Amino acid sequence: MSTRFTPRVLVLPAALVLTFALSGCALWGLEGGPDAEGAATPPAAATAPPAAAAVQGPDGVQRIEIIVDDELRLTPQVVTARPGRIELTFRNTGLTPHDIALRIPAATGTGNINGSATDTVTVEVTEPGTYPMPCLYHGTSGMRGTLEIR
Amino acid sequence: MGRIVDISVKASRRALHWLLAVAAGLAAALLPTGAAWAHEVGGVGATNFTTTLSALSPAVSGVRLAVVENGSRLELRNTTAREVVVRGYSDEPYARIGPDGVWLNDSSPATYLNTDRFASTTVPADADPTAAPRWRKISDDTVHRWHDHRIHWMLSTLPTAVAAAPTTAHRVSDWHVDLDYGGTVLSATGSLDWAPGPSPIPWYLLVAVAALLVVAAVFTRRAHALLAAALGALIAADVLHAAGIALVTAGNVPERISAFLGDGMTGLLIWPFGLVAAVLIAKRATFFGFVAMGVGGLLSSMMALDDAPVWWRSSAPSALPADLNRAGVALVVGLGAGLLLAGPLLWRRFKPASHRTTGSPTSTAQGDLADGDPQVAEHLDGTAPGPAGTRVTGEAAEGLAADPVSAGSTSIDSGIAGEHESAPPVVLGARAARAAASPTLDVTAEPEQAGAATVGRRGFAGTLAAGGVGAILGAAGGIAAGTPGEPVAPTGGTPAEPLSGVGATRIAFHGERQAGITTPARPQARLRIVAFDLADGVDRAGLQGLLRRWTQAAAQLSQGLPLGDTGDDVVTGAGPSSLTVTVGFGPSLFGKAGLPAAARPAELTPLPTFPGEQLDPAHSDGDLCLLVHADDALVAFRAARALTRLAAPQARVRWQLDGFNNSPGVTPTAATGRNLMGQLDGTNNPQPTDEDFTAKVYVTDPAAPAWLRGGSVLVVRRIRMLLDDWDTQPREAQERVIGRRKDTGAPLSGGEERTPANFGTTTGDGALAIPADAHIRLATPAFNNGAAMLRRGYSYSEGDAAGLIFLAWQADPRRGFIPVQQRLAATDALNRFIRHETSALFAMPHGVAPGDHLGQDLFGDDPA
Ligand code: HEM
Ligand SMILES: [Cu+2]
Repeated sequence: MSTRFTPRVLVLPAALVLTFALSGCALWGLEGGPDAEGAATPPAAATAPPAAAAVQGPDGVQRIEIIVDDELRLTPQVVTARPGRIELTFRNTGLTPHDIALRIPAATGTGNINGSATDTVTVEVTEPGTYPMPCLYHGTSGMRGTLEIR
Repeated sequence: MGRIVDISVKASRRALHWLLAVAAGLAAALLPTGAAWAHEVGGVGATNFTTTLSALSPAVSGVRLAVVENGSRLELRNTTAREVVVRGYSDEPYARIGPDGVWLNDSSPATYLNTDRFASTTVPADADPTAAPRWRKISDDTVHRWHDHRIHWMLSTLPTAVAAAPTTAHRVSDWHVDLDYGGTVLSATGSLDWAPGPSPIPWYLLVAVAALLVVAAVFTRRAHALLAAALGALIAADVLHAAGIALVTAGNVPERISAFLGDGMTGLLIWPFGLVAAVLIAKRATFFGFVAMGVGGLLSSMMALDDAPVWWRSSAPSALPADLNRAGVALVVGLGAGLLLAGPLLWRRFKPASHRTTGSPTSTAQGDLADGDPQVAEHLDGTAPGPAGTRVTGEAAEGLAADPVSAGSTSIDSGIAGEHESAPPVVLGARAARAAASPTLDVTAEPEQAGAATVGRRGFAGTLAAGGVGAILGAAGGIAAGTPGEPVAPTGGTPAEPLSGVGATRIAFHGERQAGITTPARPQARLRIVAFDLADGVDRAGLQGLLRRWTQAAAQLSQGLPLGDTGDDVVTGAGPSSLTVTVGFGPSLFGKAGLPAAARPAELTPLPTFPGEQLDPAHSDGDLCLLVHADDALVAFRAARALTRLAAPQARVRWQLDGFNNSPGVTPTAATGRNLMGQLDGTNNPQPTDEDFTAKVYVTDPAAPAWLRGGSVLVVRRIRMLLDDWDTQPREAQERVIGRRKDTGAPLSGGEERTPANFGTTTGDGALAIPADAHIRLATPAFNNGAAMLRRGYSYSEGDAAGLIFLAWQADPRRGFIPVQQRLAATDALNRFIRHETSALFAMPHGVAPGDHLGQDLFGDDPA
């Protein structure tokens, strides 16, 4: 009687190990197996930060929409504009909230933007320069955009 | 012996069904959790990401911040009598930890974001960091742990740089978190690094060796004892591993006990089974090999699935040293895998004859469980002749050729006697071969000898069981008593050198009062004062715009953040170095920029002309003042220059001054600084512990304009020291000029530096110990109707000239600097050695809240 149980008990862990071994490196999570084999690598788009220029409207205000998402990206990551009034619209297409700070003298950030929410801020920049736009929640995780005034 | 065996065999029969059922049920129950990383702490398993807390400065004893759970959470313990406020992502108060328990601010987005490792939540609309805090008590403890997203990696993919070169170390980010502690900002700084882990190969080898040794043990004479030992060792290693995890699990005792026992109380179910089985196996209950198989397979596969990454990642949530933890995991996986095979093999080698033939559950042949198996002995005997080396090779080859698992199960299933003759035992390695072969020599030994051996084994099994139980109890006790949450020491990799306390120290910019007046407690090493005149025609809006720019930039600079201008590179790689920026208004501002002259507060009444002074008007006074302090000259310069540039076009520089003090670390932090005459200068300043300190230094008069209340009035005097004359004086003469000793700073009336001066003390010849014209006698509040000021001077040197940048802070110079200087100017013995060269007076407005700008209420309510 006992002998009938034995193979099953033996097979169970073996099958378990096999199943997970076959499911490959995804098994080991974002950091992957040894030497980060099979690790979750960032999409190619994030590797080369795309820049986009704000478009000047008839009223002289330069406008641009920046997508923020669950990949903790700002798209475009680099916004270029000329000195003057700039209207930045942040559209959160993900579920994770963000809060984009504007390291621009006299400018305040967006405040919390929940998933699927949008926030628009207008800034007046006179000095050419590179102004960081980090996410206050995800700055450490690399969620940092820039505004380039040239 | 026979009786024991009898009982155990019967017990084993009865126990088998539910044992196996429980094991199978457990396996099924654990399947999903196993896949979901059962051995995580705070949502983090083994990882190459390393969060380091480099400094919490200034340090306060009783306030302890730690990175816990491998970077998943921060933990703050506050055992002081004052509460600590943790700031959220917009510098708003997020949590309050103190004698009154832990409170969270429902107006802070952090309250919602910090509950989850990945901040996947929705922040309610009324959580506005600029709104008044809405405190809610969450516990009576004096400790709080939270997922601070500033300290860990939030993304489900690797950082780009890491993905490109995962085998090298990377500094991913630097982070900082501010705490407020009774007006001081405790600034926590640290880094997030990628530290590649070691090669897993040694651990794979350890797994293989452990498994093979266990399997080989079946074919030795002491098979039962060795298998029992292997099972005991397996459980000990598993207990050790679980204890390591439980010890870093932050939480109360039940939380940690449950971390110790694992999901679904795995430990509680499996470990006792295993130990009982080990004891019974040691008593030669061959049958329990199957329990060893079940326990081994279960623990091994669970461990492999959950914890294999500890072999190749640099850190793991465990209190054990990294390599001990890795070895423990390898032992569990290896011994468990070995037992998975060894259990059935043991049965195959020692199974009772009745099972071989009928499989009847009622037959209990005593002889079955006797020492040794004649058939195996014969078999081994048969191979005994010939050189050991060749035999090993031959058997190893055979053993490897035959699949031991299928061979084992086939043999058990079919129950064919003598099956093992066609499947020789697996023997790998010369030592195992010798061990396998040696029983052939004494298998025919006398029964007494065998009995003695059994007694030995029984004792051994008992020790083993006791040891195992002890290990579990001891670990549980340790978990209950131990301190969790020691920061996980970063291992492997070489993260960049963290900044020392000097560079990393940040002084809060926002607050009720401006920084740079009484904070930090020890004046910074460097000073740059810049006085500005407003450009002609600047209106209210222009001035307000300038103040707004200054406020924003000063907030960023003092927190070590870049401004986005080309000057950022001056401080690239530098910390904020206690930078403070303090802004003030001169008397001449009133009457300009649309501010009525009548709006000038009485405290800002221009200083009178003092007897004998000859001031340089071009380097005196000013409409606006920027006072920049830092512990580093480059940091101070960069900030002053950036702010000067931001002043244009509304204001231009009128004059500026650079001053210096001892650098931090050069003298003890609490020591009084020295001036260029060599005196300790600042001894008898008002002390922050004095009851009336605030009233002396800050404007508290309700009649003062709102913008000034909470502010302070600054007198700046550049006082040249005539050092050539001074240095010709003998020390005793110099000491009589001030009324204090130069070396210790003690008053000439006797005592130590802090001993109050006794102005009535006379020397042997009846002369006053502190002469009538001594500086301290003339300057002391007692002889000036209580007039007091906080002196925080700096030295300057400019070519041949050198002296004191005298800075005095007070609520009102009319009850501070002015009466004192009137007396000093008339009769001070020091006057022979000094010359007042420039003078300025500024009123510093109160501090600024996030979102506001300095001097905002100077402009009233009308929008500019
Ligand atoms: C180069 C110029 C000066 C030098 C070298 C100097 C030096 C000193 C020294 C060595 C002390 C004793 C230690 C201490 O309590 O801090 C002292 C005390 C003091 N000084 Fe000066 N001082 C100078 C100018 C002034 C001026 C212009 C004032 C204010 C009008 C002033 C006000 C005081 C006061 C109030 C005390 C504390 C007296 C007491 O209560 O013991 N000093 N000064
Ligand atoms: Cu974000």
